[in-house]
Parts: sequence; structure tokens; C-alpha cells
Amino acid sequence: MDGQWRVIALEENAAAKNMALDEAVSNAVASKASLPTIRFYGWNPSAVSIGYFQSLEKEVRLHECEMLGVDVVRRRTGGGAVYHDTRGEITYSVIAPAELFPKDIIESYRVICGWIIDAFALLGLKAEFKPINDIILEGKKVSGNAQTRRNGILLQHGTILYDLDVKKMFTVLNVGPEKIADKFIANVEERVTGITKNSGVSKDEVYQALVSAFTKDKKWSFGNYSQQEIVQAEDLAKTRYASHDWNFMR
Amino acid sequence: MGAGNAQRHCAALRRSFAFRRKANRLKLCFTTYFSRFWAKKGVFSLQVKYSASEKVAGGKLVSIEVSAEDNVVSGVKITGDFFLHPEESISDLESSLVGVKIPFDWIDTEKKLLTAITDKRLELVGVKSGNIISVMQKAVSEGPK
Repeated sequence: MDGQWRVIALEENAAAKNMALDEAVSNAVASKASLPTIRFYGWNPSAVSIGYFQSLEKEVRLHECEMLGVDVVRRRTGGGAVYHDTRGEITYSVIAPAELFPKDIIESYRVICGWIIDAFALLGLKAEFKPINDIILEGKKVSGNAQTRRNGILLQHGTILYDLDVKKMFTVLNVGPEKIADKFIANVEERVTGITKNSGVSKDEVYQALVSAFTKDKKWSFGNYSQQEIVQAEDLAKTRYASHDWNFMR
Repeated sequence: MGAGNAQRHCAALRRSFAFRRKANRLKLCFTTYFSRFWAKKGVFSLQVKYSASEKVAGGKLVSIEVSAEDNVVSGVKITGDFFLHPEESISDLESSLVGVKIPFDWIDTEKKLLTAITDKRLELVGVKSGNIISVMQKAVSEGPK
């Protein structure tokens, strides 16, 4: 991690724009037009993102999303469906050459999830990495993460749950019995937690801790998107991530 | 008078329902017999769909939808919260299972999947090839849906 990193400060975007920015930045990092990048962002309006291989109709209660004004988007990473509440979570993306991370996928999750665990430690909370891609706090999931590798670039994004609106989460998500079958937990609400359930820290303190932990031992500075990234992201948001063909692909 | 009319009306209704049930049963037998007869003659195909899901212990959820024509797999859709790198290659995995005969041979079918994984240098995370075959087996054994 010797090279310079760019950190994009916490921002809020619509779902399609957030996913489009990840892809545009990945393309720019791949062509060396941009530095390895860490983004922090929120979702406004609140949104559900689903994994690349999931069926939108099976995973998401589309009618409820529409009624509540919740956006829906398919990610280009695998993994599960996530409810991103505007007030209740912080999302990050790490976009960098894959060679900076272990080749083994689980080990590379462990490295980046380790930064999140370090941020929790700065807040006085003891979180743990739970392979394949989760972080748990007091035995409950507090962060889900997903990764893809294309053109030599690793993109990992994930959510850190701050203030959990469990009722809304399970109003917009369909959670089938198979998903929890091997966890012996009948009540899905017992599977997840937010930082506010374990600590009185503010969301801004969580963000500051994340910036400190993610940038530790790195040369870095805050930066903005390049014009090329903005133009490409706007195009991708419209033509891919907001399109029916993409979101209902499976 | 009124009660007599009602009784006659009820009896007529019962006869009508019984007749419809018999007719439906006959229709089902007739269509099944002739579908199979004409399918065997190659006049048209019998299309069926199978589906099943499984949460892999310590891994991810995998669901499969299999379409079959005359007991040969004609289409497969694999969904779930697993990971596959590169993601677009899911179509290579799905198409590797097309052409498999039902009931299928576990080892031969898994070999087809493994060949696609090796040839295209795919990496599955949270689910193994055996899990996909196991869900496919479950789908087929549960019968058409």
C-alpha cells in the first residue's frame, strides 16, 4: 500500500449513481487515469441493492419499495440483498489494483474487513470478521461486504449498519426460510444489529473512525471525481443501473 | 313447494358437479395419453420446469430453475447470494448443463460443470459445483412445477 490513495469524502447519491460511480472509478483506476480510491457514501433516497446473481422479484418486495419511495438496484458484485437506509448506514468502496491485496478472495476480504474492525476498535467496539464476507458485533451481523475483480482491479464495497430500522428492512426485503436454515434462528430480526444498539457514538464519529482506519499507513488525500469519471458515471447510471433490463436481468 | 324446489335444485347441482368432475378426469387422462403419444411421435414436445433452493452450510444460498423438453435439459437459471468471478460467466455455468438427460448421472453432470469452471478459469465462492448438482437433483426429484 505504498502508493498514493484518493479518498472521496462521505456523499449521498441515488442508488443507480452510486453503483455507476463505482464502475466509472474502477475503469479510471484500471487505465491509471485515477489513483486507487476509497469512497464513503450514503443512499438518498434509501435503497435496496441486490447481488448480481439474485432475482429481483424473489428478493425484493417491489410494491412496498414503491410505496415507501425506496430505490432498487442490481450490483455488479455477488452477495445478498441489502437495505441501505439514508440515515442508518455508511457504505464504502475500495477500488484499487488487485495486486495490492491477497490473491485468495477470502483473505482479501479479511484485509479490507480488518480496516472496518479497526474502525470499530477506535470506537471501543470489538467486532469480528466472519468469513466469507460478514463482520459481526456481539454475535450479530453489522456489516456485509461484496467484491469483484475485473481488468486487474479489485472493487470491494460494503455497508456498516449504524441505526437499524429492522421493521423497514424486512418490509422491503424478502427473507426466505432457507437463508436462515443453518443458523437456527427463527427470528430474522435477531440476525442483524446496528452500532447504536451497542454504543452512543454519533454517525459522524463512525465516519471519522472509518477514514482513520481505512487510511492508516497509507499516503492519501481527499479528492474529487475526475470529469471523465463523472461523465461516464452519469451515462452508466442511465443506461445500465437505472435500466429495467439490468435490474430485472435474473 | 319451496322446499321441494330447493331439493330438486340441489340434486341438479350435485349431478352437475359430479358430471364436471368426471369430465375433468376424463379430459386429464385423454390429454396426458395423447400428449405422450404425440410427443413420442415427435409431433410436439413435453416441456416441464423444475426448481429448488438450498442454503449451503457455512456458505450461500443457491437456487436453480431447470426447463426440460422430452427429459432433456433445455435451459437453466442459477440464482442466489453466492459469488462467481467473473460474474458474467454465470451463463457459461448454466449452458454447461443444457443437454443433460433427466434423470441425470451426478458424476457426469458435475464433470460438465467443472469443465466450464476450469476452461473459463472461474472462481465460485460460497457454493461448490457439488452444491449446484445437489440442488438440481433436489429439483428433479421433487418433480415438475
